[in-house]
Amino acid sequence: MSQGLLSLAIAAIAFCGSHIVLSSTWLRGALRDQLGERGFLAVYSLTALVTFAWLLVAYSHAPTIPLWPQQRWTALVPVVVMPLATILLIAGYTTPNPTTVGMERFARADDPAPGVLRVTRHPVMWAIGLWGTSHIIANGDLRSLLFFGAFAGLSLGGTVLIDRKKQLALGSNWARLAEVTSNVPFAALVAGRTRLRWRDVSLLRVIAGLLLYAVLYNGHAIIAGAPVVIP
Amino acid sequence: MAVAAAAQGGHVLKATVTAPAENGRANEALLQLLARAWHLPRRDLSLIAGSASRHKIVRIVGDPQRLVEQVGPEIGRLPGG
Repeated sequence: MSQGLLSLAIAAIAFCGSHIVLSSTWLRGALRDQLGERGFLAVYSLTALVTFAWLLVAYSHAPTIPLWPQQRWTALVPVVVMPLATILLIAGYTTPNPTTVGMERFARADDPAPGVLRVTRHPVMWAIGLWGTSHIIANGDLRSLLFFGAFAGLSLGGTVLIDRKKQLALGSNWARLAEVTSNVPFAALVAGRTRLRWRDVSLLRVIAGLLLYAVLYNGHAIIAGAPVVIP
Repeated sequence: MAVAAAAQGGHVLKATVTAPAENGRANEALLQLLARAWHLPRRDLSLIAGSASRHKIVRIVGDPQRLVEQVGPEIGRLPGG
């Protein structure tokens, strides 16, 4: 393995590892006891930011080793998947979510799962997961597998870790939430365990999501450093 | 990709991409093709001439000795190389 790929792999491990160690091991409790909840969140955010920047730099310097050919259909996967991802992202960030840090009190609300949470209780995590996996498929090289795989693996693996923590933290309120939601998008809706209330999701969030998609698509050269290429 | 004789003497590398020549998409496809073929970081490749022409000059940043060792044999293996 080349030096560029090795440092990318180390950056990916640091990014995922620091997230997991700080959020899901004994270290979280120990640090919170020392620094308080706010101090802990500051350390967590700073670590995430630094390892994120490291990962970005390592990705841009890594050589391109093809794993599979870039084809029309592989390039079209993100084009098709990203509108769902951007809607989940916008709706996720603007909906009170009991599984988000600091928002646990919403589990006691009359409706613990408003709007998009009935599609998935982890909309932002799935947005990142869909972004990552679709871009692995489109790029088809080893450095993209490491870079986007770090985000996709962490976010989708994170949903399981978060669920486990919240189950303990929320108790009976967790059961109320889990009953009308699913981790995998649309699973609870397909199973008929829940119903989507469009008024709660609101057309505005869907439009804002599609608008973000249009900006990302057309501004890809500026935002990601390369335009969208469809063979 | 193939190596061919250039009209003005010397040799050129012939490469074909299917991406449309709009908003730099074909140029990006070409540079990605070269980066993948030669196992280089995409950022080390850039166009210094011919962004709107069929004849282009690509600049590769890196240690010259290593690039010759890495890219030379790849070009040699191409048809006409």
